[in-house]
Amino acid sequence: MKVLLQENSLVLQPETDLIASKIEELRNDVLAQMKKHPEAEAIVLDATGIEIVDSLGVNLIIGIYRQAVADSKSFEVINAGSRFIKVAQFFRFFSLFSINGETTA
Amino acid sequence: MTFVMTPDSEKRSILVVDDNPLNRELIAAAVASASCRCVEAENGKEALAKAKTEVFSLIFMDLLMPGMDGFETVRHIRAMGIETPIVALSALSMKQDQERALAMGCNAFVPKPIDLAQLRDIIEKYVKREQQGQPSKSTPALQSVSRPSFDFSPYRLLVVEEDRERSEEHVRTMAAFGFSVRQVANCNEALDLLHADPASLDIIVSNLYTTGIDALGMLAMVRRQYPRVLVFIFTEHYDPDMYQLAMQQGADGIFPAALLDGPAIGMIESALYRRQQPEMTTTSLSDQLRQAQAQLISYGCEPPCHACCLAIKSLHEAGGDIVRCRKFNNSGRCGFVLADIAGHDLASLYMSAVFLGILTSCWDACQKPANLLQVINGEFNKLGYPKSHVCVTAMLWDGMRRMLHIATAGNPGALLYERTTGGEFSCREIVGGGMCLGLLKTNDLIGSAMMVCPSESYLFLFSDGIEKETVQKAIAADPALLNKHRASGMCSPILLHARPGQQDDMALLSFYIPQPEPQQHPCYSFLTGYDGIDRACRWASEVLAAGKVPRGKDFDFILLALREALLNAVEHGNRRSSEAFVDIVIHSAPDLLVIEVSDEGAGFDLERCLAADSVDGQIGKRGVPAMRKIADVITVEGGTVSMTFSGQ
Repeated sequence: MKVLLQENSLVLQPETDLIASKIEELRNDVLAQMKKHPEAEAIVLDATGIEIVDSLGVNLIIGIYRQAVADSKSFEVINAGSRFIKVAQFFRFFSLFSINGETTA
Repeated sequence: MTFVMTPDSEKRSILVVDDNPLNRELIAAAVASASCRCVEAENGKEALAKAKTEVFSLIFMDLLMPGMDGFETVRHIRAMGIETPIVALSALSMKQDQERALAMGCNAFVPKPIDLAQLRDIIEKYVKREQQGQPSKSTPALQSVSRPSFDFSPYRLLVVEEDRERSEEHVRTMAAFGFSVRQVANCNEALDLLHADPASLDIIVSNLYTTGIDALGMLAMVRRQYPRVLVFIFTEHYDPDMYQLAMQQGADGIFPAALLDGPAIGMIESALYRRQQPEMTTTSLSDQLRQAQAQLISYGCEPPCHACCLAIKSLHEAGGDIVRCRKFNNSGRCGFVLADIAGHDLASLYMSAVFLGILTSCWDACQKPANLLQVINGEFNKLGYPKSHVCVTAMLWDGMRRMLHIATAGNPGALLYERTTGGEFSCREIVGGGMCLGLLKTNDLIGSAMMVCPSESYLFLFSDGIEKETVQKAIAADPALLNKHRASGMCSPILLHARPGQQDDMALLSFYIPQPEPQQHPCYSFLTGYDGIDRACRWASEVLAAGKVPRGKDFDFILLALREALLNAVEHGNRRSSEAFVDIVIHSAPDLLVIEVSDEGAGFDLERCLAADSVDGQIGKRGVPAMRKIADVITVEGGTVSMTFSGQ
């Protein structure tokens, strides 16, 4: 996973799909990065490398969102491809946070 | 057809099962015009209760009903040994729905909307045939035993359950079987009722966990103060330790809540039957015990699934011989148990009931034959009837991999006749033995074996009244027996060679492994693991890409639904066991796609999972909300989840 600290935003860019076989490692990485950068005021999930999301992936995204809210940080998804957008619509992500990409919420 | 007007008491009865009152009314009119008596049931449970207590000439069955659907109801009716013709009525018009209905045991399939003239023709066909004395259905290969009706109406039953909705459901179930039912929320209230009027209750059916005193606490008090009251406990899931504890403390039965509408009733019936025993006269006792034991025999799936072919023959008088088969999923995973309960006394009858109680409550969760026998042995040792014991052979057939797992305790093992490359048959002896269950405190003397069985093999399992030489001699005398390519018709000629005058302990099970059918549908199997899910999805995407996605359906969403079904199989069905397989079969027709995912688990309550719906926590609900949103129809049968996608 690529990690960038831009201004006050912590940008997390997974390089794999958010699916069961990859999720445990990703979860550990994400939590470690959020803990490492408490000063970040916004958490940004860069979905450039994400095409497939299963229910464990959904749980991870929701988990990051909830952790961000609990820490009084904002959360958004950027660079979402069309397949990610389809899944996001299916799981009603748009009602929780903004998603920017090929189709913008 | 000319019908003669007859008084109601002499009219033939037809059961109409449909949740829609208008449909019932329409069919009732056709039934009445045929001078038959119409009995209505608005759901599967009610139908089972009525089928159990009354003999019908014909059953009309709606397939799509809330709760227990028509497929499941038919399966239960056939499992009860009832051979009444069943005509399925359904708006489901797909060929595989019709095939499934027929496979479950329906005799005919009539698509809705219903044509009145067609209904009359059907009534004429079946009722007239019965009047002419013809069997309404071809005699099955398997010997079937009808259960006599048991009158539950004199018994007052109390349901103890805090969840209001589930409590209402249990009350309806029990009332449908004829019990006089009351309900309370917890065990304290149940005890208050008993203290106020000890004669007000005969049976308590309680959730294990209730606020305040739990069911085990209540059980101890009921046993001390009101020993005549039967206490049954149900739990959300099977828990061996808890089940052992409950039996040690004197529960009359303990079972998973999901079995409340079926096998648990049998358990209650057995307990009530036992309670009636002291009233029997000495002369009738033996006969009644044999009769009761015979009632416990069931041959499971009928017709047997096409993964194998099974036939059983036992001596008519051989009470105590038990054969059970069970289909675990749609990918050819089945279990068989052949047992002989020693003796024909009360203790042996009780052991029979306990044995079947364990089978019905544990088998799904304990599909490994050796483990199953260990559980049964543990329970029998707790009963402490040193003179009673059970000889058992348990077998698991994995049709997809053509793998046989077999475990024996006190039985003579089995004979496997395999076709060689030259076309001849060679006989392989599968060593049996072990100690009879209930005689030994330890579990390590159970024989077990695992083998791949080639196509066109025959397996013979037999109880200890038959010697393997008898089977070998019979087959040597008539080698053509092995060219039947089916199991039915095998047992009787072999039993002719058994010991003359033998009157008991003879049950023979013949099992034929057919040639695999040419693979008509793409299928894929993998050992449990997340990597397997990824590989399976890549395989499925190639299959779907070959023009199999129905019009109007989204390729990505179908793959998402499949991925959720596979996650369910790995996480829940197989509990991440790396030794367990997940099987996928993709059936397709123009504008129709059916994906079946089978695991080695016990299945789950689809309705309950569908009731839960939220954005997150999908996996906690087995991914069902997501699957349901994408698929047009989702069904769960044992360890198989089927998703149907139709074109628009």
